[in-house]
Amino acid sequence: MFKYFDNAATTIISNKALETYNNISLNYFANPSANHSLGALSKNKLEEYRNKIANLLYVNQSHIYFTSGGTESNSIILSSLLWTQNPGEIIISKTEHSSIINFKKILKEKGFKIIEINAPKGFVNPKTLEKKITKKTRMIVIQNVNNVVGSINDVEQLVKVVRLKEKEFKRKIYFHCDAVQSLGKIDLDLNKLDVDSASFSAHKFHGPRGIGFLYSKNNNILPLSKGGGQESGIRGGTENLPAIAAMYIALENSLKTSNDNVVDLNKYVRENLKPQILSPSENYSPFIINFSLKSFPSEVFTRMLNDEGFIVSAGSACSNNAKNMGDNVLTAMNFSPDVAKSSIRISFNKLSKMEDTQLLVKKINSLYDTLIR
Amino acid sequence: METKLYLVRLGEISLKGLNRPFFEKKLKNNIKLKLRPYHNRVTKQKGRLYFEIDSQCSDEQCDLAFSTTFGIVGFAKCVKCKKDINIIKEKAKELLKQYPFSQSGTFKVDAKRSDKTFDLSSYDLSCELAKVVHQEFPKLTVDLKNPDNILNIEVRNKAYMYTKEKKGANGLPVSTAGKGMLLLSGGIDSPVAGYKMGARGLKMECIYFHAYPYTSDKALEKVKILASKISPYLQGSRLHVVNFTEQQLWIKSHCNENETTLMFRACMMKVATMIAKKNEGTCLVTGEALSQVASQTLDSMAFTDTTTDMLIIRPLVGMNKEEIMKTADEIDTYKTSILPYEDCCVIFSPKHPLTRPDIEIESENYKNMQIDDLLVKAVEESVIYDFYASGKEAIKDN
Repeated sequence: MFKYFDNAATTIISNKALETYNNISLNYFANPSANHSLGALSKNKLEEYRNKIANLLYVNQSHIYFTSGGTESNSIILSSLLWTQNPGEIIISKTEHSSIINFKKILKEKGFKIIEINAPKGFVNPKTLEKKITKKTRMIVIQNVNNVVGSINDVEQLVKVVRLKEKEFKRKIYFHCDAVQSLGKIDLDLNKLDVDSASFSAHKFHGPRGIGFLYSKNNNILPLSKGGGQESGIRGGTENLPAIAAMYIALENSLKTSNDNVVDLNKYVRENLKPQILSPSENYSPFIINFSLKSFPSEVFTRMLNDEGFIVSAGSACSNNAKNMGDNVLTAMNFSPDVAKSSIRISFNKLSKMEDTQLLVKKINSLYDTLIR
Repeated sequence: METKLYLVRLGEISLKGLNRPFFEKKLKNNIKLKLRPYHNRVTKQKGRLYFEIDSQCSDEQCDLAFSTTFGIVGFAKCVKCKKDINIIKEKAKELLKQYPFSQSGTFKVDAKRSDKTFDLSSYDLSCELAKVVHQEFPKLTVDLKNPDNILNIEVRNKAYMYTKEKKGANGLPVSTAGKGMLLLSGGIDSPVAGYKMGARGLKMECIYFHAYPYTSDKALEKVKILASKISPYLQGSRLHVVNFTEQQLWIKSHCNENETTLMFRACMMKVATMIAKKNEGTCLVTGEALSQVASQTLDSMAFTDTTTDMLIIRPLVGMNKEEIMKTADEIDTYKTSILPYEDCCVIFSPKHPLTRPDIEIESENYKNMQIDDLLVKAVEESVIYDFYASGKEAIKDN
């Protein structure tokens, strides 16, 4: 039996979410866009869940657009820019998820100037951001929780800087926030953060795969996939009602389950793990903890742990030239390439067990002693 | 039984003297192995083999059999008929209906007449058949130098005609030049080295050194794919997977950091030699090219040579990387070779490897490692995967 510590990649679907998925699939199978009575029932159910999810987040339901998840939500926002007549500047933090980073090339080709912003130890400094904003800045993309080290950006402060600049320049500057690693895990108040848009994914909080949503106050965004006008025209295609319902159930449950257990696990790891911890010691999500093996390839270490029954995630591959997720993010946080190549991520869920975590730490420490020290 | 006829042109074999039958027989058997299980009958003529194959056998299987067997210059599906010009012309019409030429452009009739008793000269025969082509494709003009379409006719015991000739792999039939062991790494070079030596008639088994968990099982899967891809050229092959983790760790902790790569190579040669001797191999084949990496300098190769009493063949030694990559692409191993699963983990690669080793010092250092027992163990524990000449992996009997 494997002990699973890769919950930042995905979490197991909860029983309640799965039951809901089954129920809604069987009882509300008609297409919500259909004109008949069964279609109307599905449509009502869909709007009911939109309302319920909006209520959980204290936001307007017209600002919730169902999508397939984080990547699609990020893509809708960024691809919207491609249609603009007058490209300007976009500020993107260097530690974003690949679904953001990989948009830089096409935005550049479309005439946008990409201003990259460093995030030492995972944090974008509001003052640094302030300096980067110019009269040409159209959008700023900064994540809430970093998926590699778990650092939490002070999005509220960052947005405040942007709003002041808006007043100064008398023009709108959009702030998009990838909050995939936040929802259901850390406190998240979209009204307080005051972002223009944010991305969410259900499978990060025990919901099903392939469902998530985009929160957007701006209704001028353009669709990535055109179709029958679903989701106010933002996302064509028949709505995945069973998954939406299951996502709601998973979210409701996640929001009411306390974090205390995860905080304890994180603390235990920080106090007992021998390798160097890369995650910051303040303002971090307790769900993610990243450590480094002094240049020992993380891919190999991951396989060793895998063979001992522990599932963790490698920051990079066993290669000098591999371009993997951890590398750019960690080097952008000012870690050396050697450290980046040997980084390992442990990520918890709210049901992760202390005894499993203790066994994991013991195993990591003993491997570390024999292989590395 | 309905059959289809293939003409196979032989290359270098035709230059052989008294031992030509030996090469021809090998070639025939090598092709037959790939046409299994379909019935086929072979007739032999000077410089040609004719295969009459059960038409149930797909064109793809026939093409694979002829295009991957060394010793063939070219092959084509052909028709045969009596040596009567009227019958030949009728048959030519049929052939052109079956394999039509392009509607515009140029053509040529290439007639060869080894039966000198045939009434028409090669030139006259070409002219007669050109008339047939002209009737069928009136817009085509004649171009003898660079024609778009060719109608070939060979008058031998019968008249044989074909249009589209496909290229063969040239060289000499596998298993006419003994047997060796190919050190297959998972990179671009070693499959090409195997291909090159296969083309000189060498039969080979492959050896791969696996160091799980330092190298991933995906790297092993990649090597198995490479073995299966070169297997048709090698007339089937056996892959010996040597688990080398313990040995690599031993080497790492018992030698100087800058000589680890040299020592790995020395140990690999020793293991390969033992496997070769067990399997009646008499040489080792590697994908080394001079100065490509630190372990492939002249001095490093000279040291490697002292670690085995077997002949080490390095068919790529004077080739540029571009040439090697081009061949890899031609034999369809390139895309697999560049998959990002490393064949050796970075922790075993020294930062500053020795490029000009002193043979005496390194031989002494090798002895001091006292690793020979571990190498015997590696041979004993190696795992075997077999690949048929079709490229498919054989299912193991447990």
